[in-house]
Amino acid sequence: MRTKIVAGNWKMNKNLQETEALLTELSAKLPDTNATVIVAPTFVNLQAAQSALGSSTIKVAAQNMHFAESGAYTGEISADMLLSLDIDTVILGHSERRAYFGEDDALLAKKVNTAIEKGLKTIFCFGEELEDRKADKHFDVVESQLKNALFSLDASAWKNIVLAYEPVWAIGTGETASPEQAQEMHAFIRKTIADAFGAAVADEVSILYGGSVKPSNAGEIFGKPDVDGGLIGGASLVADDFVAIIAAI
Amino acid sequence: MKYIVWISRIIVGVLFIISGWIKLNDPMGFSFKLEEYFSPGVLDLPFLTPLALGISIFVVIVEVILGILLLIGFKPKFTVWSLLLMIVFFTFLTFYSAYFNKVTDCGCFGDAVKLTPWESFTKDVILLVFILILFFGRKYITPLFPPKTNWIIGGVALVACTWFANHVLNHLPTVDFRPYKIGANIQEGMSVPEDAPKSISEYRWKFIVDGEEKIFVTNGSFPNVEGGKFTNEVETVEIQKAYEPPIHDFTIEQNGVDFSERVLNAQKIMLVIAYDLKKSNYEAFEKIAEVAAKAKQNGYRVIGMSASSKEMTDELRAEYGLDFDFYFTDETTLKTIVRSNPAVLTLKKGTIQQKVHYNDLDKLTF
Repeated sequence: MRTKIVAGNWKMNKNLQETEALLTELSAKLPDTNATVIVAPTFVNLQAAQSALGSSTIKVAAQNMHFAESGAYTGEISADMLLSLDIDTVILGHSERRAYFGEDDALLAKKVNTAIEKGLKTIFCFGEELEDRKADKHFDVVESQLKNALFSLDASAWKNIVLAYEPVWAIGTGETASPEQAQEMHAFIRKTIADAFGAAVADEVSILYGGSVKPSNAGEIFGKPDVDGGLIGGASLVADDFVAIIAAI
Repeated sequence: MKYIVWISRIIVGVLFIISGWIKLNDPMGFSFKLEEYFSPGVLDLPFLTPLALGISIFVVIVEVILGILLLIGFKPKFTVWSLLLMIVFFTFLTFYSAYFNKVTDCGCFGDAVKLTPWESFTKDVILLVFILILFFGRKYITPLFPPKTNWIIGGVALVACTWFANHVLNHLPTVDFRPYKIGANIQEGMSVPEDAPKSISEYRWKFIVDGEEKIFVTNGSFPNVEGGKFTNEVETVEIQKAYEPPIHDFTIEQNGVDFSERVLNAQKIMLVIAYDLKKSNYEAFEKIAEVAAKAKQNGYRVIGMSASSKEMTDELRAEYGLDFDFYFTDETTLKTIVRSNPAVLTLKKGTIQQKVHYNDLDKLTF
């Protein structure tokens, strides 16, 4: 039985007060759900987020981390630092990290290895660009991203991996990915993992969809058999919208 | 034959008057439909797009007048030839649209009656049969009144149709057939019953097996194909359509965040709608600035909704001193909500209370 997950990536939004206010509202409005609900505020608000959530079932994740244990990496955060705040989940490989900060598969492989070694649950993001889709290379690109970053892991490590497929071409471009396109890719991803690590691993890994999920389309997307939840961007910054998306799973 | 012609005359005449009047009530809506027909994906006649409204008014007036002329039996040769040419053209158009799945609703009855492409084609074939009966039996079409009376009826009908078209264009359709009519609740229009049919698709995965292309059909899962190589091609075919509520595309966004819920839950909100600022009547925004201020004084929240860029809406706000933010909504949705550009609506908890053309801003009450 795969875990259903709705994860809100807050990106570089919400200051301390806004973080506390949103989490308080979110805790109060959280519907009954079997899904794991995660929020990922900015680094500086992780501790405050933990405190604001108190006994809530909502989990807090980090949006990034460095692969090194410690050292001269100004501005970076290590896995141990996250663990010291009781943060046990980290998002790696988000399309914005890849696009704006030059994170490639090789670097991400190092980060994933560190996260897994440290026992952090990793939400690994990947997905093709518009030109890949237009050239019908989207399956190849996704397969390559998975292989380069994750296929050096042991099968046992996959219990701490959550995948988040982001069709980058469908985010803020006016293009729209249909729920069927999401299912096609999710099915392909699961098959790719099954081929490499066996059906048991593939059947257990949660694959989230990260292509502009909104309250209006969440139900249809989450209804697809290989979609196990969503990595939510803008809509996770509004309590009512995020709650509506959680309720749709 | 005489009686068959009479029956055909009544059926065709009444149908042309009804379908013409429905479109005459909303010539702007019919012009949007014509723009869809003229678009590159359909007939690819982009040079006609700027003329769509003019063509729309002409066609619907002709439709009503031909219906009236047929019923009163005036100028039967001209009437029947015109009807035949029109129906032959529209039968071709609806067949093309249905066969190539181009335009999902023909717009034959405006927003009052929605027909699928094949239903539209069937309707046109049936009408063609009746019109052929009229064509071959046109000697049985006799005038009901003396020529002078017929001229007067025809003239009055033409003047009335032209006045009516002008009236609805400068105000709003007299009868609103759309799901955004006054009194409608948008949330209710968006709701989907729990037992409503869901979309079911089949996935056709293309593989190369032993050098040959083969399609493997699944319900979504990736097929297990021994010795096959996936070609990276998969086609999804919807075999059961999901229930589509009357309102299915209402979103209000800003910076990627959907504000629909908040807008629809507002106790008092005024929406300024301008689907495309390049086509807006800019003079109206002076009055809208005044109306917005008055609405705010009366406890209304005011927002703008447009499909135009942020640069354009910012420029507009600065030029006319509009003290409210603009949010993004799809152009087609905005055109469906209201036929005026700009226009103003007031909502109470998602229920449309008032909806006015920019010529009728004075009629708003707060």
